[in-house]
Amino acid sequence: MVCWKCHEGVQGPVCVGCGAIQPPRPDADYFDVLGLERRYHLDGRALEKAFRAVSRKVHPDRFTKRAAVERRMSLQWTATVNTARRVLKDPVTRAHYLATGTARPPERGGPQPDPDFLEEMFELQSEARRAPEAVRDRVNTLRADLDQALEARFTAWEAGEGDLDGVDLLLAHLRYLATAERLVDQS
Amino acid sequence: MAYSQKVIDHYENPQNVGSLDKGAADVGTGLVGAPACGDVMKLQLKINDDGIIEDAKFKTFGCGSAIASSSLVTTMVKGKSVDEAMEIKNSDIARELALPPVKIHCSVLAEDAVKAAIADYRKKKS
Repeated sequence: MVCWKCHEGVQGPVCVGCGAIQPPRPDADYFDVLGLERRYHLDGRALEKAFRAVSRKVHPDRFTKRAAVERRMSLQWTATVNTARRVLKDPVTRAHYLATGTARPPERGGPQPDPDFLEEMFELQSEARRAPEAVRDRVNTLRADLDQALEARFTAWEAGEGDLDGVDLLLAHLRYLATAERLVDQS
Repeated sequence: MAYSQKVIDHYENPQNVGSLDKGAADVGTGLVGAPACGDVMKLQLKINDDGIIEDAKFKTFGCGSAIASSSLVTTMVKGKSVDEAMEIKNSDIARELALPPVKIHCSVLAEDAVKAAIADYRKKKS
């Protein structure tokens, strides 16, 4: 990358040579934004540390005497850094982001479970009021299986084995279970 | 987030809750899920020999918008032909209920449920 202002080579959000903030890329990867390795197993303290370090570099207070275009870039960077932290902090949105490049599923389409699973989810959601204990037990069993499957997929992927295809479907399964659990909690 | 008055009306007084005989030859059943929120909806249509939808029932246990969307769509399809019902778009439902952008998937769920029920009916007939 070359600094838009002094045309020297630049790494990171701010040019070391002239101090100009660089335009944030709209398609920037959130791990890149925070200078973190693309991993599911992410240490929460490392995330906070990286977030604070980048936040300081791009903070609007540092650019008050700069041109309007740089002040605007500073605000855009700050928003991007905040979003990156929010998405990567939560294991579910982090997993979804790694698997699909977005923090959450689309409003339309998205992965469809097989009919048997959907049938069972319908049963669980409809039985939540009548048999809350049984539904909760079944939800916990299914969730433990899903957590284990997710863990295995990401562990393999981080070791360079396999891809993340179908991980978004596992995450969707978790949301069906969460709806059933919410109904149990309300019963 | 505030629900619109129309969502509240359907939520408090949902139309056509229940079920039809899944095994009957003139009943199509659609079971669909919204991956975005984890809600599941079952919608059933009773269709006569002229291809007119005589009855519609639904069950869903999701949020207010999902209940309102399915309630509304059952009132929309009754009396329509199967072909007309296939034309119903989620945007029609979302507009009628004034759903906010984060609840659009509820209207998608209702549209998909109608299409799935019709597909099931057609499969039975063929």
